Amino acid sequence: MEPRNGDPVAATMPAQAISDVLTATDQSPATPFDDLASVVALYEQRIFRFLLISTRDNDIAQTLTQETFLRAWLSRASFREDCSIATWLMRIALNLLRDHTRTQRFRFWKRASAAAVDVSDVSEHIPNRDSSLEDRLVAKEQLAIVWDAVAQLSQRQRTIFLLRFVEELDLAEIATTTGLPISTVKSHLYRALAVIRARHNSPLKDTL
Amino acid sequence: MNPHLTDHLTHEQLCDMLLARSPHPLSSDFAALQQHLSDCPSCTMELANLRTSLSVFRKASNSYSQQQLTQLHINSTPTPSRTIMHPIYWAAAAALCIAAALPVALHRQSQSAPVSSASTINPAPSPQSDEALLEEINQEISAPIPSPMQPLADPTASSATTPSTSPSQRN
Repeated sequence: MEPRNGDPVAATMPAQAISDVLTATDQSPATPFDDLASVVALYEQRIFRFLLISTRDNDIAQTLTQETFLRAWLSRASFREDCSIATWLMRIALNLLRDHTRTQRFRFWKRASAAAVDVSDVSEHIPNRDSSLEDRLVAKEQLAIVWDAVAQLSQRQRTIFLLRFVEELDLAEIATTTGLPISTVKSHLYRALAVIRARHNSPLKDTL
Repeated sequence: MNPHLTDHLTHEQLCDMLLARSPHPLSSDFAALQQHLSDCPSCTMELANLRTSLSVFRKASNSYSQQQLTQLHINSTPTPSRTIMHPIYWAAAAALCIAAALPVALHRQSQSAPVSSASTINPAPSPQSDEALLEEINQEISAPIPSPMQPLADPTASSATTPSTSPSQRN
């Protein structure tokens, strides 16, 4: 399954190094993860993007991305190909993210980290730079509204929201990735969108 | 729920439109929703605004994360030529060489000083100095009486003989 968004970035050294060192002693049957460098090249962008927007911290996202591919390689024997590689990797990333955000250490560094992502950093990447100044200001405001609203969501709502509206997974894929029923996924999306709508409408109400 | 019976789209209907889960295009619900959207500028505007906001959020997130990952790859890949050519590395290397050479130079200097002083105290014997020394000794031996032991000129020299040195007087 090819990544949907963005160009694949070249494989990182750790993935290649892990693959080279461990393949020599490996006796397990062949899996798609044996060529870890290719898997990383294909899916690193997607995993990193999801973790970066979820944690809003570059360092944590980078660490968890590497950890995701390491875990995938170490447990590749359990990959039964009953789901896509992307779904399997995303499931590992989700578990790592959940474990990481539970710790007190994460909460502390979340407040103190210099690698934290601010909405102003992201707003510089709003497309259509050739558009008018007014359009760009409106787009900046829209981004800030969604950015703030996403921060208000619960961990599960945020995860499902990002999987749907950033990773563009359909409801069935989200259900497979999160292990939740589709109805629960839909319910979380409705609640997340309610928060987005409320934040979206509040400036209008203030001006009226 | 028929949107004609309410003022605006319900939250679920709006969400379904955003989630691309709107009713089948041939169903009556879909026709009713489309009819309502064409008649209600408020719902149309809100739906369009939400779609635009979510699209901006997605595109900006994609672009930002892609740029960050590319930056991480660049930072994690060292460029030897740039690193080696950096002036601070040359300065550090020079300081290291000086720091290594200084103790050796000081040690050599401290060793050479005692040797030179020792050489002044005990000069190496040379044939010329030996001959001069022997000549001096020969001159001193050949002298009849050492000059410090010559008798003083005494006007009363006739009676000035010591008993211990005159055996004729003792006999």
